[in-house]
Amino acid sequence: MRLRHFLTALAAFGLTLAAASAQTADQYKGKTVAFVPVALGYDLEDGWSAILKHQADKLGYTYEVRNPNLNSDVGAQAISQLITEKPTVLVIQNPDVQVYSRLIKKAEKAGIHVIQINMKSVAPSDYFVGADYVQLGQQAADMMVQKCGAGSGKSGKIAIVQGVLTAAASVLQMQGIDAVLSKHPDIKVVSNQAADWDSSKARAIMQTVVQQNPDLCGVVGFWDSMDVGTGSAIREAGKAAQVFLVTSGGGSDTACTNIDNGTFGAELSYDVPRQGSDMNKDILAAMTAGPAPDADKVTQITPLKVLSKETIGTTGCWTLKQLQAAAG
Amino acid sequence: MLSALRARRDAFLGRGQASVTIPAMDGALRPNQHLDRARIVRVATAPDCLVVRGDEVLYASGDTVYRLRAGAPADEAVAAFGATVTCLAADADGALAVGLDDGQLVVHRASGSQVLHAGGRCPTALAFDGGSVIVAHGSAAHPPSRWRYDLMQRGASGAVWRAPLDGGAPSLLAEGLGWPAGLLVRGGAVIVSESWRHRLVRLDGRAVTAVLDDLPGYPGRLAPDAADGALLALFAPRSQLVEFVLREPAYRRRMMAEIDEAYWIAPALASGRSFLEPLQGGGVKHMATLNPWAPTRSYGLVARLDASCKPVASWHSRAGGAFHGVTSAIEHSGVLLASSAGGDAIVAVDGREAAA
Amino acid sequence: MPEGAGPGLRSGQAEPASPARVGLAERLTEQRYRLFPDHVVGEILAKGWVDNATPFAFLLIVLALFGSLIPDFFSGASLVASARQLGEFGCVVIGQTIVLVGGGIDLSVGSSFALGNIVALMCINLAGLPAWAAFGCTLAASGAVGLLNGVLVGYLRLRAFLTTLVTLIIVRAVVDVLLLHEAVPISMGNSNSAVWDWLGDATVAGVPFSLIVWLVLIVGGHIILSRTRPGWHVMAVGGSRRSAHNAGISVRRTVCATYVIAGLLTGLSAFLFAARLGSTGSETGSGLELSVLTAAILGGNSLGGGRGSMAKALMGSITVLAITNGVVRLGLHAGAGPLVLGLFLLLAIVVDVRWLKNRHKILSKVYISPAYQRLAPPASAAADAGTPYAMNDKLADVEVLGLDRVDGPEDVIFDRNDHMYTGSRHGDIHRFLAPDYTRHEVFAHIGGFPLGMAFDRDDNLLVCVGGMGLYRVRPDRVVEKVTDETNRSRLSINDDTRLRLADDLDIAPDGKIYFSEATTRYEMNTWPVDALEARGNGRLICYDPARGSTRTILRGLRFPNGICLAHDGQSFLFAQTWACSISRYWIAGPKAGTTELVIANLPGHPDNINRASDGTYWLALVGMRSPVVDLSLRMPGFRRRMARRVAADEWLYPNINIGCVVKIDDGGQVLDALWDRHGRNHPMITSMREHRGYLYLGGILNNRVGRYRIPGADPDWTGIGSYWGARA
Repeated sequence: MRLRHFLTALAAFGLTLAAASAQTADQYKGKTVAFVPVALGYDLEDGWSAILKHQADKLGYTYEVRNPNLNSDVGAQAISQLITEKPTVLVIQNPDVQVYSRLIKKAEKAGIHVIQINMKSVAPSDYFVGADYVQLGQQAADMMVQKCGAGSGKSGKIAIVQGVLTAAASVLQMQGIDAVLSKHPDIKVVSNQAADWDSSKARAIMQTVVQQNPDLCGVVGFWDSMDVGTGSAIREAGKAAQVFLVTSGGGSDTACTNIDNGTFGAELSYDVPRQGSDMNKDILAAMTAGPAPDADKVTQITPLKVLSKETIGTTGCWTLKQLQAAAG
Repeated sequence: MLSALRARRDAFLGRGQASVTIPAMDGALRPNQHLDRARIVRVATAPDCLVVRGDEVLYASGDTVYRLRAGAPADEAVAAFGATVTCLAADADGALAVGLDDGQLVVHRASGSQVLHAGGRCPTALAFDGGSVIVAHGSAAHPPSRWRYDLMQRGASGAVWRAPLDGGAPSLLAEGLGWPAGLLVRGGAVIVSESWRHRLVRLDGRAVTAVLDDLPGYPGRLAPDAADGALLALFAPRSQLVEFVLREPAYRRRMMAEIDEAYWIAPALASGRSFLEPLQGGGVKHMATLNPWAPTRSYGLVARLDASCKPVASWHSRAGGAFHGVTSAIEHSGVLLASSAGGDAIVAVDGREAAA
Repeated sequence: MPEGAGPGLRSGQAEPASPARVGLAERLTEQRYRLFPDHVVGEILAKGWVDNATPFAFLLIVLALFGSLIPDFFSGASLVASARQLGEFGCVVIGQTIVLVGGGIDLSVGSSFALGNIVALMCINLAGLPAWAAFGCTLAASGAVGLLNGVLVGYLRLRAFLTTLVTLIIVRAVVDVLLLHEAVPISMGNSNSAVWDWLGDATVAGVPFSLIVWLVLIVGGHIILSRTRPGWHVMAVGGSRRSAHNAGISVRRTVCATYVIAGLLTGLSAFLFAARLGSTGSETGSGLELSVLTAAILGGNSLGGGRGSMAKALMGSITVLAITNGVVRLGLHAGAGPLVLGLFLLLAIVVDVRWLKNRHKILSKVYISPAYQRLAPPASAAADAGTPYAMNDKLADVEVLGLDRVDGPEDVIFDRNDHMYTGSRHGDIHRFLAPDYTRHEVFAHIGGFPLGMAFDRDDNLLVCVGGMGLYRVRPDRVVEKVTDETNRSRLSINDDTRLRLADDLDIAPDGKIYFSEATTRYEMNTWPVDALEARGNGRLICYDPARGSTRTILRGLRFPNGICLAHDGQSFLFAQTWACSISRYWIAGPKAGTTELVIANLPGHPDNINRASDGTYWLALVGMRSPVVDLSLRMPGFRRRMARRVAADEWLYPNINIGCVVKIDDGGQVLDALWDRHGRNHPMITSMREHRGYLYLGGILNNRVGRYRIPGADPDWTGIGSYWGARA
């Protein structure tokens, strides 16, 4: 069943490709797409990169990745460098809302189309592909209310494990959570800390929180790769049954495994293959848009899916191998 | 192939075989002034070959063998041989074996002389052993007086022979030695001092084993002491500069061809006699005096060895001292006698210092 | 005479060596040593800047590597993009370099940088302060971290490594707390400072602002570190705390100051960084201490302190940035950057340690570079040789003066009142009072090692002082420097302007002082080593009192030593010790300015020359030639290997344990010789002076002055009278 779902996604993906290849392949020759993620080595970024690379190989334009490895200064340097190299399209995952804003403006001024993926900067660019984090925050908070709020018979104590505080994902999700919780005084946030997308940091934070609050009811984590640490701290404390952990992420097989084994209560997933194909569409649009980037801002919001024990049977998860195999 | 390359590298960098380190005088060979403070028994030109015959002491100077007469104004000539006497041995019944610089080996008795066939032409040391004489030949290429040539050519053609007193054919005990210069018969074996390799070896049948290694000087004659040990005369010191020159074939060749032997960079029995001799940095006189630890080409050194040939005591005449070039040393009625060829004297060390 | 003994010596030289003895191989050797000046290698290694060679090579290798791997690595735009980051990074490296030079290490720069960054952003984005105020706050924050380090390490004497490691952690914790509360507001906030916005993206004539700031700091830092007192203090403290303390430097304050400077520079860098990116996060500045330290060490700054420069900081910064950016641009896997950097740091440390350890070894092995010299066999000086040199024992019964009261009377001289003067190893001029020379006083203290002496027309005592130069002692005992430098030779690598070993002098009738400098490559206490080289390392120099100028007149002399004005005042005789020759330099007459050989092939090594009462000259032979030394002079490779493999005490020397005095006339005829055959009093004679019928003997390694009655000498003749006439 999972596989079938995956194949549907791939079919959609394939259609885009077919549409693209209908055009003369020559027009992509010599063009370049560059991707600056926050870091490689995670399912999210590796998934995007695999899909981006696949289309590039298919259509014959150049694709390259610069890996800042969680260091935004290195990332900024890489973008500055890329601006001088003038790729056609620049795909940027912002580590925070501020750090690349000036560079994004500069890149667009230099005639480079910029696609921001998932995490926005304060500077808007031509294209944005990503989840609506405010909505994601609201959904997560709703789950907390449902599981821990008045009438559930639980303590109402929840903890929040943010990523990098200044990242769009954190800032916007907090907005959504705050909006819901302000209406629910029965929910008490006992801890709200930043684990900087780092699972070992998240684990350290959660170890303390669980000790201080033995009656903790729920946790909102901001990213599944990081919350593997959060979940393992809860499990080590023997509270897996008591504490409901909701996280969010790209919905790869890690998510399914962790839901299966009860580490995650639920995951709000933005679909990576979908995001990848959205980006690929934007890339083609940008490449054919002519010399000046289109003044209109194109935003494609990725719909959210809820992965839980009940749903993983039907929706399934993707693996990087599948993506690469389908791509290769 | 590899070892040849290694040798080239070593020669270039001055490592391994090409390095010029020499052992320090230390332990039992720690420098002292016992020899410099010794009493002169006889002034003689380059005395050599001290041996004990019965209760008398014989030595050689030039071509003559003398009987030492302590207290008398002069010694008594025993015999003259027409060539420089280079080694001497006496047996219990008064016979003398005499090696000469012209290569001859003569057995001298009151009854007359007998020339022995000795296997080589460079007798440097002799010892009686039963019915034969054991003779060391320093080199196959040079007579004993040209020892410096052999050293500078890195000679290794020395041999030890056994010559029967009955005139029979001599037999070879060992060959390929680097200037054997001292012999000591002990039990069934012969201890040989191998000068150019700075060591003592034991000849046991055909086996050659080192018994004392890495000496800081060139070992010469051996003589039994009063106990079961031995006295070893080291006739010259080793020096870094000489070791270095030994590793410089081109320089050595030209030095031997162009310069008088007395002024070579080579060990000597005496030094400081001419301003044409080489001087080394540490040998520069300050305030008209020479440091006793200055590098020197000549030195006086006698070592006492125990039964296992390990040094236990030593007597020194240091740089600038009077009694350099000790070619032989014996113990006679509690007195240590040494012939200083460089100091032109036979000296005696008495009493406690002799036992030191 | 050897070839190449100096430009001034070409005229009138025969080649006395019998050509039959010189084979083709030796001719080739001779040419090889003439054409390839080996000593240059050693002189280059002795230079301070040679330390920079390795880091510079590193830099070139890294640039070449990435330049070839990455197509447009060197394109202008690409360089500008890197340069902005370089400026910020480089400022921190300068701070680290100063700390390292001062003997410390600062690991807290990463946290300090993060603190500066967040403080700057709080000031601008939250408090809305103007840029200059924000700048002040940033410097204050990072400077405070530096001050904390400085107080802990400098004043409380804690270990730099651990202390700054602790500050690293503490300050990082402070930053984390600030981040938790302020990060989101900061990222949401906006600056309303135009200066701030300009700073972030500023270029001046196409050059990023931060790079300009950095370059200005590099130049300023270089001047401060290498040319000013505070910089020297830092160097001295880093080199040796104890020595610096003994020299009166406030070690604690200096150490503290280095950390404060490092803190301030980190603050400056953080400020520029904040203006550029406007972002704060927990990763800001993390790992910075590693790359900064790598840059500083890779540039060649020593971890041990006392050795470092701004040029090294510059090279190191560029190298490290080229590596980190290059690795990112190659798209290598995560972690490859730190890995490559770590490997380079390791390499740099290894090189640093090995180089420091071995440089002096290499130098001591390479510095001595013997040259080829061929001397013909000399006349024999053996007692029965029948030559004028023949050994005798005329000096056996010299009268000994001043025994053990002088140490090293290289020269002896007399004033108009017959008082005797000698120098000493301790830098004193001793005066022995006439008539019996038993009373003695220290006439003046100059320092160095006083060598040759002469009285001028006004009774001033002129002295060549080894290690110092040419000095004058006035009759009222006031010591004055006459000159201690000459013009630099054009092609020399060693700075040869300073006088290292002024040896002997004499004064021309017009008052010009001609003096010899024995060697420009060795110092007073290593002068015999110059014999091992036997190269023309010495020179003849003229000081003109009228113009106050000092000029080198002859170069390439083989240990020029004694110099004496001829009786007719037309020329100088001078000796070259290692060349075993006497030459004449004309100062007047038709041959003025030319040099001619007077005696070649002496059997010994000539030293001082002085006038004799009968119109001839006394010449001291400081040592005798030995055949093995003469041979070694023709085999430079032998001497070079000897210098490397044999301990210095064991080196072959010219025989300076015995010497003599000979008498020569103007034509170079040797008339007589005086020997101390057994060397009891005068094994080595460096000088002799005739005075009222006696000859006085000095020796540089001796502790006495000898007095010898010259048979038949004029009992009224004095040297000073012979030069300047009887006093009016």
